[in-house]
Amino acid sequence: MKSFKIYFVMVLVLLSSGILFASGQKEESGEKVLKLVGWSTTPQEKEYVQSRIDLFEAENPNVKVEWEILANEYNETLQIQIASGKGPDVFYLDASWASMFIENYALSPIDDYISQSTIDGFYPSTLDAFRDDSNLYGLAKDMNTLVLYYDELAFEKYGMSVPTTWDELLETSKTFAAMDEYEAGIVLRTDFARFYPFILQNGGSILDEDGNPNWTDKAVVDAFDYYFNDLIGSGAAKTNKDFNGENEGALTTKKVPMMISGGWATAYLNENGKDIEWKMTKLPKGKSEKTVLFTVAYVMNKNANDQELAASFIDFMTSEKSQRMVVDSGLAVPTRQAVADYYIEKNPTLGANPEQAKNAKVYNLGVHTPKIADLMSAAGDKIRLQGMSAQQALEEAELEFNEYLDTL
Amino acid sequence: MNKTKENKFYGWFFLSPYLILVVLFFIVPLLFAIYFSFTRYSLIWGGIENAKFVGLNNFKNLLTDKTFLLSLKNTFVFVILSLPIQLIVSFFLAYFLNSHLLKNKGYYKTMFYIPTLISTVAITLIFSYLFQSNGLINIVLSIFHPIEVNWMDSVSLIKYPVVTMYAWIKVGVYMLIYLSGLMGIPTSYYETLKLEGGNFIHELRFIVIPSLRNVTYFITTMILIDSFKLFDIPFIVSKGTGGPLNATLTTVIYIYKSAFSSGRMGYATAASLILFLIIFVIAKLQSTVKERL
Repeated sequence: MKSFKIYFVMVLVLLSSGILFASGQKEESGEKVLKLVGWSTTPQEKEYVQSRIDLFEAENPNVKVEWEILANEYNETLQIQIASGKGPDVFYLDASWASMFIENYALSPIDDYISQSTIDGFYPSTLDAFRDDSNLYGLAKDMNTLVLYYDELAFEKYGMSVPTTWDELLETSKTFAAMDEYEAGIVLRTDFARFYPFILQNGGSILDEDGNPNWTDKAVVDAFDYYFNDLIGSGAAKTNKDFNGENEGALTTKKVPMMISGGWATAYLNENGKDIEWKMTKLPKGKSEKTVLFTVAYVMNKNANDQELAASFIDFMTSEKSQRMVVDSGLAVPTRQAVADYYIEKNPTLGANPEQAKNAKVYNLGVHTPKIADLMSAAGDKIRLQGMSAQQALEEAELEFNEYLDTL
Repeated sequence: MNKTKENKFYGWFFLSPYLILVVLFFIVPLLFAIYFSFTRYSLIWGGIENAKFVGLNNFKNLLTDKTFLLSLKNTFVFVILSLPIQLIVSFFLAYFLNSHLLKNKGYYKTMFYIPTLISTVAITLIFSYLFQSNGLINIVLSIFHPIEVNWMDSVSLIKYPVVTMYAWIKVGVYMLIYLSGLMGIPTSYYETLKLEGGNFIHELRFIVIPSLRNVTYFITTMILIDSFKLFDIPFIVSKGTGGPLNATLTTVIYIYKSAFSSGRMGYATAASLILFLIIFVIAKLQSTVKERL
């Protein structure tokens, strides 16, 4: 009986230890494993990243790169992976989330592993979001700005000129909106990132030099007025919500002749825009041509096993050679200045995107970027859905933001 | 070892796999959650040692946080709308399926249960088309009165598509539970009522509803708990924002955003404990009321 009990207890202990530690075991084969986590917007992008990984593995035969694509809830999943004490060695990080990861010590600086000449080869604005006072935490893999897409056939048919200023955009949109053929002149999205360029173009800023909200400044209020009252409120523009969430789709199905989106939209337009003659041009300018730069970097996890290897991988994936592949994909603009000419040569009709990047401010408002974006979008909704004045909507948003800061 | 001790040993021994799992995946996380609710902590800071103790600050701040209070209000509205709809519709579907006059019952059962199996994302997409300004719902309503509103982008109306979707997904499950309860009622009750000259209303009042008292209590509890935890449908509908203008911001979405978008895991955990307390109190009240009836 006693031996029977001992036998059972041993089985239980073995089973428990098996359950608890099975996932942590790895073969000791001498091969280094580097885990990369990212997302993939198109099969084309996935293919070119994989080809770069294959090349890295060929040059480093003892390294195996495990690439995990997170399809949904990217930042949330990543946070949980890091909280578990490990997570990927290298991962994609959008500029808008960078401050949160940097200020919470989730990243390792890469300065010690990357030469200054390499860093100098990037457009400085693409690295702004990935720095703190003393360190650099990532290298931008590509960048994009918002541009105006339009159906050239529509403009030719009605003898219209493509708008280059806010006034022209409003007039052109109103003219198209009045036609039976179109539901509106332009489709606009109502999330903050999409109308932020209009605030910048009007000379506004979201945070002042001390990091305090600056939302009731006349330049900000006027930009809201233009976007939500003059364009959307007048019917000259409709929102993507009026087209069941479709932005690019509203252009390709000829519901509107103009649409604002980033360089990433070209893949969709190539695929679905067979019935139109889509073209890209710079955003119509306000008081200036300043705009927002969207960028994503390869960054190193503070828990990375082999930091030197992780840094060399980041360097490799953002090298000039890799950036040429970004160019070939046509989905985004390279972040290395040396590849700029190659981009124009390969994509002569997409020149508006890199041209605007010269005047762009990276989309990052510090650690509270998601909260600010929420409040600004809500202010827009108050104007659009409740008829509130821009001034009042922004006053309420600023008050709510200050209350939020008080609870931290 | 005597027989009683030996029995105890084997009792605990065979319970141990379950107990280990309960302790690991329920008790320990619950204790961590309670601890985190008194701290300032972000997931990406790493280990628990990085959590900074802030006493009752999270709870104090939550009780004056307008967005949190709005999320509670929204959640109560969803519960109040969902409970009668899901309860009544699932009951009558089960009643319909239990009718001896109905043929091909399996076909109807499958049809009513299928929505439970479909992905929430797909259902949300379908309903978004139905409720958009030129969607089927507005076309039908226009027969009575011209209507062009986009339900999915209206602060006052978006709750109705959400509640409808939620009911459409859930009633299949509750219908089956009601059906099993209805099938357990002896046929002699109905025969006696028929001999006494009772009608449909009498059948419901004196046989069906009293016989299903425990089943109704169980389903009500399930709906209440489930509705208080409503997350996926409003999250997908609003693309994670809880909008428009926080109209679909449930407490669980608020907790999710606080934890992951704002990196305030301690604050989010405190909010989740408040929600837990609310559900607990309501479930307890419900149980007390049931026992007194």
